[in-house]
Formats: sequence, structure tokens, C-alpha cells
Amino acid sequence: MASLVKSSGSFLVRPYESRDFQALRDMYLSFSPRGMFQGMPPPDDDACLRWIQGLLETGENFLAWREGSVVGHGVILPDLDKKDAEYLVFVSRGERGKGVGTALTRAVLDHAAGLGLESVWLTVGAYNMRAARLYRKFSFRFLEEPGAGSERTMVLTL
Amino acid sequence: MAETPKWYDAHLSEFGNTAYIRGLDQYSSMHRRSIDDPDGFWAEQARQYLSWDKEWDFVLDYDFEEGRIAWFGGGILNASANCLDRHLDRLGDKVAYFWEGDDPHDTRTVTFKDLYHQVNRFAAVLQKIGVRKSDRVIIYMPMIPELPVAMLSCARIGAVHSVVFGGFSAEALANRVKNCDAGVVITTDGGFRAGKKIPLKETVDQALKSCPDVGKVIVFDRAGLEPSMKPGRDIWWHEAVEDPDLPDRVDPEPMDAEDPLFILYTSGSTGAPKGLVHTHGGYLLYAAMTTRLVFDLKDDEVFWCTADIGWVTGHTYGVYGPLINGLTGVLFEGVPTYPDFDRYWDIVEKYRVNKFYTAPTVIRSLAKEGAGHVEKHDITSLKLLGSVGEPINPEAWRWYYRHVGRQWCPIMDTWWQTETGGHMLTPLPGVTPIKPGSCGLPFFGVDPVILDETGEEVRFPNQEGVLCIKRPWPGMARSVYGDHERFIETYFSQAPGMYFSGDGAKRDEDGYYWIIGRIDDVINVSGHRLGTAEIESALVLHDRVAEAAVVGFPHPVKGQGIYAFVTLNTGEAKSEDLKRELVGLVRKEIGPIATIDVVQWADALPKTRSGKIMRRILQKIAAGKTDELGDTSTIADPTVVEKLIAERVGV
Repeated sequence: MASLVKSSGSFLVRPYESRDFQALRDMYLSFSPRGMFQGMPPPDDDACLRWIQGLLETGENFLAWREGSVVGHGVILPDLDKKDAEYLVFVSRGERGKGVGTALTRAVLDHAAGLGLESVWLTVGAYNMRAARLYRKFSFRFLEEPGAGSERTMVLTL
Repeated sequence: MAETPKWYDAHLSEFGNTAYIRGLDQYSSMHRRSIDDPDGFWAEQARQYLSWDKEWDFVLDYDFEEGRIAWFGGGILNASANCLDRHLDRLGDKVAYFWEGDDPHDTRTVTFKDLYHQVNRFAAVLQKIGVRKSDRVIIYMPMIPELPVAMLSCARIGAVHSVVFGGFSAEALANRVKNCDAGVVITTDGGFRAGKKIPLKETVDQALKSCPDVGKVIVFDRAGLEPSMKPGRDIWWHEAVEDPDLPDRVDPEPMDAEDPLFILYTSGSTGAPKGLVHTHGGYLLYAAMTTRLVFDLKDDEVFWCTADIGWVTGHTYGVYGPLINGLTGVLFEGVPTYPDFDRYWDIVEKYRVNKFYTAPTVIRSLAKEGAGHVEKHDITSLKLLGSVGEPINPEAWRWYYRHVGRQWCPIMDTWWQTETGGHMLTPLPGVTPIKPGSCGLPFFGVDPVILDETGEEVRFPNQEGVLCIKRPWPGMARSVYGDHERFIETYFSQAPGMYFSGDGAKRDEDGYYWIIGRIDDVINVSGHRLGTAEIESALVLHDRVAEAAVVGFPHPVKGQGIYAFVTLNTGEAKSEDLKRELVGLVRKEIGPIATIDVVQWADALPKTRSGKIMRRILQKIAAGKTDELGDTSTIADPTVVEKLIAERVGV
């Protein structure tokens, strides 16, 4: 199996392992702004931890590390009946714009292809142009017409 | 039946000949120059509108990536001196404010000389209690002359004022006091509103229970309420200013153009309201210039901006803009509907108001009561009207134009924000025809662009997108108090090299701009911005509430109403009483402006597999557009949506 450890600049992307929980938790508890992305990450700490646990249990998770800290988290939540998966990615405030999101997305999508899925989709704030730019780089396309509301769906056919 | 005109130009025959800016050519060349040669253009304006103790070292220095903006760096001036001292010789006896109390018989006339004396006196009081340059002072007062006095007194000594709208609750006030580390609060015992006494000092006392660092509270006796006064902390305004040891004059503190002048809190998409910081030089210039040119104010005219000074509109067009220009304004303590629905027109007639600036929500609520109220009064002094706070729907615009404007007064429908300091997109009365619902053209120095969801400039007329501004203008906010990172993230991280306004817009085939509404989770209720996250945070404080999602929905008077979907903890009983409790809780946490219109119990919210909330589904349900939901395949449990539709609360 090809190595899933990808290194870019001075950060490292690899699949989540259970010993990583504390570091992942630390990233989210100090994450800012909370609740910005369709209510995620949940502003309440307890709800946030429950949410992280849910993602770890049901999804395929990847973490980006810099100097021993988790600076990004990418996850797909597959539905094997529908043969699709929801994708979401979060990058720490000070680490945005440095290629972390790109590296995580690449790692996650490579993995998705290996799971026999037909498509990956995500939702993004209607005018979160920075995020949409990242997703379009990976050929995600908007599903609906503009003006549909607060958030839009993007789909990538694998 | 005659077709409804799409544009109106009756005003051009006069304004086209008498306005400061006349005709499209003059506007275009001036606008062009302001963009191509900002240094030259703005240096000229700065000399024309303001008095400087020392001129600047540079006109403009900025880097949007760092959220760093500086205008007239090295220039020295003072806001108070620009509003007052420099007018004394020629305009000392000129009326600065016609003040009208809640009761029509309670009126005062305040001249520039009166204001000068009161400001100097109060500035001396502030100094005596230890307020120094750059200290933050919270002001929580009704619309009385002492409110601008308090602001200008702070500005005089270089203190940074933060005015909190009197309608905010004790919690909201406390949050602001703590956020800006204020050491002093200036307030009144109470205020009058529609014949009732509102006990403001009580709210301050409640707020300050959690603010031990506030050392002094100065209380102006407005309502004779005899509030409790905490020894050692609370002092009476009237006693403080009568201190015989106080000097009659306090020299205005020399301020650098980039020194903070005030902090004003405004709601955003996430978290608590942010304290936007405006500075002395650029803000004052922009306030002065837009006041003069957008309303085309002549020196002998009377201007009335109805906005409460607690909002930015009141700061710029109720205080700084008119006073810097040496103009006469109206200050009104009451509401448009007391004692009757003709109150505003009574005031217009009484003071012969020439230029009138108000909010669409006011127009809509007065239009509902009929034009008869307007017709009771002689409002022929009115030459120009203005609209601010939210886009105005064409029906309300036409009512305003026909019944208040007498089919002639041009309406300056201005788009701008707390962040922008002053008008950004606006008609100019001597320049073009006006279109109902359009905010016209960019003001000088404003370089707008509309970006689509991919971040590209829109290519066709009427294509919608988000409004961004390509370069700085003097009036823009410089930071979020104590959180510059948040300032950069909110305004400069989405569109690199540009200011991201958060407002959706389009430009028509004639180049006129039209504002569509917020593109984020901020709603506009009666012209006031509220973050849905703020309201949700308040709801979730209730121990029976597990989760809440709040969206705006179209409201015939308020523009947008507040619709809350609330999930209770398992086993909790749903009841109308609990709904009322929740509405009360939000009013307590934020204030009456955040009164929820509808609470719908939601056993679950529509979410994706990952837990992300699909707000657009909730927006459609709240708006009654349940057959326009669009794609719902992303929702993990589709029965959630069916149930929400079935249980939708009719409004």
C-alpha cells in the first residue's frame, strides 16, 4: 500500500490514530472562530467533543501536524449504500493560506478513491470564496444555482 | 393606467444648477481623480474640511493583508476643536441643535457657544476624575444634548468613547464595558419614551455588578427618578460641573490622525459583537465630506438625522458630520408615533427642516397609518430626503417620495456600514436621476467591485454577488478593539487585497448599485444588525434548551423578523409559556431589538451527516417557501425536514 504520509513544507499529513485524540481535541478547543461554518465546530466545548468523537467513529480522518501540534483535520463520512461521502476540513486560524487545506484534501480524496466511492460532496458558505477556491482546485463543482441561501453544496465525481 | 416610472429626475432642474456636485461629468471626473490620485485628492479634501494643528507626513499607507490602514499619519488635530472651537468666532450664536424632547413642549435650543461651554466644563470634570488620553469611556444615554456633550468632551481630552444604544440590556451593556476595559460610565437617571419613563440607571447598576473595574459613574438628571447612587462611585453631572475649582476651558488634546476616536460595537456572523475602532483624521474627514455633499447641505439649512446616536448613523450624521460643517441639526428624544403618527412631520414643520434622513422601517410603519398624518403639517421646507439602514423596498420609497417628498425631493438612499464610517454608495442630488430601491453610485474614493461565489468579478449587468471594495477610504474602521486578528479574518481574508463587506449586491445596466441583503448569518431587523449566532447563544443559555438555530424571515415593517427553531433537551415539555420565557431570555441578554417573532419547536435541525446545519432549509421554511427547498439530499435524516414543514408556525 502506498504511504499515506505526505509531507509539504514544514507540516505533515497522516491518517488519524487513537493516540492523536488529545492533540486533535486541543486544536478544536482553541479553534477560532467557532460556529462559523454552518454551526461547526460547535461553540460549546462539550458539544464540540461529542462532535469530534462522532467524526472519529464514523469517518476516515486525516490530521495535519506542525511541530507536534495538530493544525488541520480532514474527514470523509462515507455512505456505502449511496456510494458517496461528505467531506469536511478545518484548518487552525494561524495556519490558513499555507497549503494545509490543500494537503489534507489531497490525502482524503486519494483515500476516498480507494474505498470504491462514486462521489464526494461537501457544503460550504455561499460566499466563503477562499474555501470554494480550494475545493474547485480539486474539481468540486457547485450543485445548485447561486442565491440558494446561506450555504451551497459542491460535488466531486470520483 | 400610467406605468410606474423606473426613475425620477424632477429634482435635477434645481439641484443640477445649485448643488456642490453638478452633473455626471463633474461627478465622474472627480471620482476618477479620487481613485487615480488619492494622495492629491484627499490632501485637498483634508485641508478643505478640517483644521489641523500640524499637517500629515503621508496621506495614505496601507496593507489589506495585514488589515493595516493609515490616513494622514503624523497629522495632528482634535475632533472637539473641529466641531466647536473653530466655529466660535463666526458661528457662536448659531444653533447647533434644536432639541425636542419626548414631550412636544419640552424643547431646548443649543448654540455652538453653548455646546462649547458645556463641553469644556464636562471635559474638565472628566479630567478631574482621572480620565486620560486613550482611556475608554462608555456612554449610555437617551437622545438629549448632554449625549453629544459627553462624546465631544471625551474627544476633547483624547479619551475614546463607546456609545451604547439605550435599548441594549444590562447584559449587553456589561459585555461592552468589559470588552473595552472602560473605567467610567456616563449615563442618566432615566429617559422618556412615548410618555413613559425608562430607568436607565437601574440597568447600569445591574450591568456594573459584573464590572468591578468601573471606578466612576456620572449621572445626568433627566427624569427626576432619584436613583440609588453608590457612594464613592456615582456622582451627579450637575454637581460635578458646578465645581468652582474647574477651569472654564480645557485645551483640546493634540491627537494624531490615527489615534482612536471611538469604539462602536456591531454584530457579526459569529461570537459576540465586535468593537470597531474609528480614528480621528480619516473618519472626521469622511463624516464631514459625505454630510456636506450627499445631503448638499448649505450653511443656512436645517438637517435632521432621526437615528439614535447609539448607532453609527447618529455618530456620523447626528454629531460629527453636521458639527464639523457648522450646521444646524435636530435632536429628538422620542419616537415617530408619540403622541401620534404625525410627530415627525410636526417636528419638520416646527423647525423648518430642509433635509431629512431616516430608516425604511420608520417609513413603512408610518405609511401603514396613512398619508393623512403627513398632510396635517406644512412640510414644504423639505428639499431633500434620505434613507439608511437597509435597502428600501420600492413601495415604501414611492410613498416617501410622493407624500413626504411631494413628488420632487430626491431621496438619497445610502449604503454604508458601521465599518465604513460614512456613505459608500449613494446618489448625489445634482448628478443623476434616482431609482426607487437603488443606492446609486460610489462616493468619492470608493472603488467597488461585485464578486461571484468563486471570487471572480461578475461579468453581466444585474448579476448578483458580494460587494467588495478594492482600496481604502478615509472613513474605514481600523481594527476590532482587542482582536485585530478578527478584523483581518472578517474583512480581509475572503477577497485578497479587498475589503469584504458581507453585503450582496448587483449593478444594473446603467451602473446603478442595488443592495440585496447580507450574505452571511447577520440579519437586519428594523435597520439594526443582529448576528443569528448571538441570539442562538442566548437561547442555549436556558437549561431546557439543547440547541437552537435562528434565521431571518421577510417582515412587512421590520424588513426582517427573527424566527427561532429550538430543540429542547430530551423529555422537556413544550409549552407556550416556555416560548415566552425564551423570548424574554433573549431580550434580557441582548435587548428589545432582539425580540424573537416566532419560536418553532424542532425535535431536530436539518443537518448533514457531519452535523453541519443546513440553514438555507430553515430560511425557506421560515419564509413559507416550503416548495422551494431545493436539493435536500445532503440532509442525513429527510424526515426532519418533513416534520419542520408540517409544524411551521404561521406568521
